[in-house]
Amino acid sequence: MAHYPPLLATPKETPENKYANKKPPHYYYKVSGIEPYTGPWNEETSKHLLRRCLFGFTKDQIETVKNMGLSNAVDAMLSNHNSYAAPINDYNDNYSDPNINPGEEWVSQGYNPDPTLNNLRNRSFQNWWFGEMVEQPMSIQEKLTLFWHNHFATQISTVNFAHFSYGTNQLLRSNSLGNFKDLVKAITLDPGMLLYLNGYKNRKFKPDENYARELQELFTLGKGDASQYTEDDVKEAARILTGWTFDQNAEVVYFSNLHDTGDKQFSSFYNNQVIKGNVDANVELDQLIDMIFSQEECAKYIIRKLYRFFVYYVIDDEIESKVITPLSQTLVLNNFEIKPVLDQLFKSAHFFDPYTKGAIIKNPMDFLIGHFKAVNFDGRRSNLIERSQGFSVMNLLSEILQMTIGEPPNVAGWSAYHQSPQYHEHWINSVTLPKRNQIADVVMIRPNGLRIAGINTFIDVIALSETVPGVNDPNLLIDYWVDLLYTKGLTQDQKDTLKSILLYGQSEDYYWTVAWEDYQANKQDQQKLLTVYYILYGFYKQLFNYPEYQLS
Amino acid sequence: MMKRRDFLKATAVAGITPVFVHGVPIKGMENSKLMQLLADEDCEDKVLVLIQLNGGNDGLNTLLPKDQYQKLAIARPDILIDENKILPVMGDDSLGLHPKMTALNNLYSDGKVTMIQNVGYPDQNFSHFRSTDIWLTASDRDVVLDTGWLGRTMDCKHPTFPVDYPNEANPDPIGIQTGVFVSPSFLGSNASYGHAIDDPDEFYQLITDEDNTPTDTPYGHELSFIRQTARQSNAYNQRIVDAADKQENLSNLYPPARQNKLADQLKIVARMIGGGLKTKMYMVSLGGFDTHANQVSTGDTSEGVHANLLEMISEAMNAFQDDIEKMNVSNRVLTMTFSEFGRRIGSNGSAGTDHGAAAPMFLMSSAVEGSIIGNNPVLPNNPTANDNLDMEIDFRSVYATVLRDWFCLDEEKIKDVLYGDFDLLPLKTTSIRNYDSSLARVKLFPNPASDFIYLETELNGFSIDIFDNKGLRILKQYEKGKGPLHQVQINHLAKGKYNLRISNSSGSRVIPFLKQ
Repeated sequence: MAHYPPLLATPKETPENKYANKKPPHYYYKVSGIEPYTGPWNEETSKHLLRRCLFGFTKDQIETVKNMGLSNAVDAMLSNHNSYAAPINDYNDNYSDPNINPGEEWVSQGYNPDPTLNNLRNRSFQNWWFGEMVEQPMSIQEKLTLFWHNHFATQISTVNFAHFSYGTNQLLRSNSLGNFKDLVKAITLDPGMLLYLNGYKNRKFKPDENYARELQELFTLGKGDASQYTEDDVKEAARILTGWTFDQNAEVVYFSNLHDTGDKQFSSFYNNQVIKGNVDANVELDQLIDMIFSQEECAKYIIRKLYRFFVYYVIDDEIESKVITPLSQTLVLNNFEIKPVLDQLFKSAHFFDPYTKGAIIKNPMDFLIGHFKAVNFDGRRSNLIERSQGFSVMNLLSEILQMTIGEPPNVAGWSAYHQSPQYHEHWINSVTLPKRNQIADVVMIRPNGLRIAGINTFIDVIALSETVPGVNDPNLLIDYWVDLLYTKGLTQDQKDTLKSILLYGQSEDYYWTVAWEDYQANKQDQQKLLTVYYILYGFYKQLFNYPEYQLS
Repeated sequence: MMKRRDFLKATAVAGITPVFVHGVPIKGMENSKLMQLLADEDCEDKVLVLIQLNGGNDGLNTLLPKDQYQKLAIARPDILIDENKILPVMGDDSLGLHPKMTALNNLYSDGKVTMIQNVGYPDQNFSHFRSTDIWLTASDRDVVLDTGWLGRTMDCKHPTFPVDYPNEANPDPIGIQTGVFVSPSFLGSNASYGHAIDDPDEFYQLITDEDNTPTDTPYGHELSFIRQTARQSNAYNQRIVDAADKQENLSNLYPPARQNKLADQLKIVARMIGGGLKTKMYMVSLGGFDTHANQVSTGDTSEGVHANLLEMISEAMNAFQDDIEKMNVSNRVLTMTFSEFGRRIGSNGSAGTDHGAAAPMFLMSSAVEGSIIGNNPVLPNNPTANDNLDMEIDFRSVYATVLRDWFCLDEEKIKDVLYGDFDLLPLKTTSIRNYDSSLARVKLFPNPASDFIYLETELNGFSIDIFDNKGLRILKQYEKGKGPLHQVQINHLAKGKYNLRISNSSGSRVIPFLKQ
């Protein structure tokens, strides 16, 4: 964890070096705490809530949230939704599935010994998951599922049983707004996790510490100063976790003869607690989790992680005392239920403080899905197979941007959420920043654009512009997009640049108006169409490539 | 036929008594003082290539202490390499390499590889993430640093970075990372020196407008960061494309693309160095070393997941070395492997090994005289699943040595960078500029000698310096070009070991000899 200096008595005007992450911006600023937000409810606040709870949003959703008001909008966000369907056989074009017909779900069939089929189902599962994110209703559930996937990270390619990975996903998804403590217990005995961290090989006399270590280091307590469990605590916890495995249908199985029934002695960090051996490993596991959760650090650890995911990554003394500590008290008071914590955070003055606005660098899902939503790109197909295949293109794009759903780099999740001092800045570098721009560009290029489910599709910048009220006025066209896409607007210079593209280098607004209206009056005229297309392509390319577009 | 370096190694081993530095025996080494005299040489063109092995490499199945074989057989019967399959290491019967590391073993026999045993730090932390940070930031076990060791090294020379970078004197990235995530090791006090490259042949022009955003909010701070990234990317990526244009890979030893991830990355690095980038540090990585389960194949412990990884390392390093030698830049390049920890002595019942402690490192260069630094590990008599290899050499000693010998940092700066005073190791570098140049072909005879030594060379004009065993200069003379044989009188020297340095404008080379 990065250690930031305490607040100065007198805020400084500018940092010594503005690129340094060691003196974060908060150093110069006083912010509100977790007390309820009482300011105005408007388009700005509505957009902020949408950005944090969803992967992007549409123009219509802003209006909906604004009309609901803060309390109702947060309540709506903090409700579960049902999955559309299970992953399906979307792969039969290339490989015949002997059991599952094309378009039918395969998850209920469970284990299939054919490795090629398993591989195809892994891909199908990823396609389905991406579809869930793209087609999310007004609920935070998908974003929380990603949060928990990052927190309790497993990798599809390592687990390599499609129905196991699907099972892990279902567990995280259905408990995403549930109870943290229950979730820790459930994930401990989840077949996908048992496989991923070798819990299934952890046996009496042959302990495997992998899960016992990550349970404490990554899932519940962290490695901060206040988390002083010992190597022996890892070994003793591993002994408690002996005896569990699974069968090929992803059912958890317990072998009491493989369970170490000796007493387990923990260190002074855990008040020298002894967990008595028991032939029923469940009894010991409950005590282990109780012991871990009785540490004050446990609640704070998960709250900090939520904060870094939903607000900003800098946590200094002021944020710690004004936000982290009160939220962790809420978590403990509510017996580790997640919903009351998020409710308090999303209705707080801190959440809507100007300090927190636009602070997050979009992760690849925010960027991609948000981009396609903003431009009304609809990759959906009524044909279920084409629909699923279409999301495979999205998966490919997110992989290029270094965030593949179901494939975090390792058990610690993506470095943007744990690696200090850069955190979110890990998403942006000399490779990924050009790639983000290229993706935004390529989907607009005629006639190919994006290939979705075998169909060449591109974002039709002309049709898109037709949806903008007052499109023939270059100023209105610019303002429409800047309001929708940019958290803190653009500078006059940047708007002038955009306008000069629309006016193709001329100085009077009517150059655009004439070009647009001329095309509208003669839509069959290829020359007029191309003129407008090239102007708009240049305009949108510039619009989507500003550095500000990476912030949310 | 015995190669020159074989000869060096053979004579060193025949010397029987190893040299000890800070209690660490050095095989294949005469002395290290010389380096301090050579240290004022130009380090400006030196390049460091780091190979990170993610997950914790099982050192005991990589560089095997054969003198501990019986104990290893008890501790890890299910994964231990068959004794007769272990590759013998030239000049040392007590050590051997994994059978898949033939290419690396040949590089060692050629004198281009130094193996350092039992590297780690006190009180090993067994978390991947914490231990990786410790290695990348060069921190103590309990200290969290927000700068990396390479970043702090570069802070010594670029205190204002990134303001006004790139510039005329520094047109290229200071550090390059292949792939898309930049290593924390590159973090300097103001910004990361690391520049990620994925495809050196691709260039995309980013928008870079003027940066006048107030940075007193998170929004302003992140926006400044993204703009800075865009500006640097434009400037650096153009240089990278140009470098890639200038230099193609010259070695035919690389495996086909996408079969060896490490080789794919090193191919890019070779082109960047050969193409003339002034970049000082490169970071590449290979994952998959967290072998908790099934690290060897059933039925043949010399095959399997870990064996494949070691083969990748060996083949990739060999092809890279061959490539940069053919490009004539190999003497500027030092390549070094590291991993966050080794693995347990005993296997864990899953035909794998849990997180461990000390492990070996490999350093490769035309400009090192290959050697083995450090003792063989000594295993407990009845190792349990919890026993670990003790560290003998602190990893920061390796870093300190690289900083001194490769980046010419003085002792005070080394202490500043590493936050402490660490023993220096005798990594012997030779400073030959062109490995196959006429310098490399100079012959010294007879050896041992009593009254005269002769130098046979086609060089025209060069300096000769002779240093005694303590590193003191005894003799200096300049030779003008007059025929292939040059005589140097040594009858006035006391008996003992000496080093002769022969140098001209293209570089220098050190040849040891014995006065009788």
